[in-house]
Amino acid sequence: MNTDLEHRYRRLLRLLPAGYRQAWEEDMVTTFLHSAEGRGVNRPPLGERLSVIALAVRLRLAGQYESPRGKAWHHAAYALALMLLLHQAFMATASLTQLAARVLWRPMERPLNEADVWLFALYWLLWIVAYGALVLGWIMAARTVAVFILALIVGVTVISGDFTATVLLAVAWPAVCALLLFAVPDGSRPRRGVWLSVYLASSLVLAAHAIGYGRRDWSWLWAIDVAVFWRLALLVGMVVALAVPAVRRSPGWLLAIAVVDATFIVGSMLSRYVSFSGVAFAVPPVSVVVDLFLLGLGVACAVVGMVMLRRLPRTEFEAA
Amino acid sequence: MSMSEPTFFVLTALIGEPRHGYGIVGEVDQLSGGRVQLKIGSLYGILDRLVSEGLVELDREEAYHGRLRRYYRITNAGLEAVRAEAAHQAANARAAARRLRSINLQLGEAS
Repeated sequence: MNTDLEHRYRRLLRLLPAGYRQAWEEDMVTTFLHSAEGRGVNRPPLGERLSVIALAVRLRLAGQYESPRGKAWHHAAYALALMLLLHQAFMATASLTQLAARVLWRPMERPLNEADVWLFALYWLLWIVAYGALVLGWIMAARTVAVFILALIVGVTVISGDFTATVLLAVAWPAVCALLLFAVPDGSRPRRGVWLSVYLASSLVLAAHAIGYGRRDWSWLWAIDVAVFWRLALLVGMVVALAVPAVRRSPGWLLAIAVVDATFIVGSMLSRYVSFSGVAFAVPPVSVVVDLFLLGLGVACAVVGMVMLRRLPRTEFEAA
Repeated sequence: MSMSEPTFFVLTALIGEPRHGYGIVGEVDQLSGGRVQLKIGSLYGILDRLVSEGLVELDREEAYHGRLRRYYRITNAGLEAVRAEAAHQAANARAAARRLRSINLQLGEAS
């Protein structure tokens, strides 16, 4: 028996989830070695390697055969996809309500190119559709819309030759990747009511904000930066995630919200506090304090999430 | 929902006698006239699903070159699934054949 070949096949099979290997590895190795007999095979043929990779991708996307730790990581990734899409839907609503306010009440402020307005509206509407589809459990629809959004950005860039749209890719691709890779049809479903309510509540606030922007006498909300609302949502999300009783606390949610928080706050700090153009901006001290506080809460969520994760049982493969 | 061609051939390969993994690959190759050449990764993806659906089960384990080799057999539910799929495919083939015959007749009348 060719032990080198067996070793190579076993190394290839490590791509598969631990639980799956426990159930099938020995028989798969026997079959692989049987198929290699008398053929002078020294390493797994390309076709077989690709078939194992395809199987590994399919099993991992479906979240099957995961250990409790693997399931928790999977859940964290899924929650991350949901939150990134919520962020995009939030920004979409903010942009669309602002656009509507400009068209209705301030058409003369800066003339808008009609084609740009439609393209802009389509781009943001698609994010709302993708989020809605994901929350309602229509995963394939959400994935299709997300891929279309990326194609739209690339298409506009290529056709117009204007590379400013590629800035949108920096935010779009993590959300799309998370959606494509981790939001699985057989995975845990979000609580539709909660996620839709969060979005509807934020839409109402953003609508009030936009009306205030259009008619300055109507509300003082327009004076607040939209990012403040998102900070508020993050704050509430993190406090709720930490405050729920320990038995109901989810390491997946904690880790996901910590990643979203860190990404948003660090990105925001870079854009506000670091001067790339040599022009220094005056940042109110209260903003620095709020950002540091939110960052601290995110670290707390990450620490609690990791501690919970480390307490979950491991399979013997993970322990090795 | 109709089953995929490789799944259909894997189930068909197990009708009559239990087979081990490599035996199934060879039998599928023969049954399909060489059209379906199962890779082993694909085979075990299919077997895993069929076992979880109760269409295939473990028959026995035998020693082979110092290691255990599993034999799989089709269950009654698996036989029923193959029967249903075969009837489905036969009905499709009949519908297509009827349509082709009518087209041939029309072409014959036109010429």
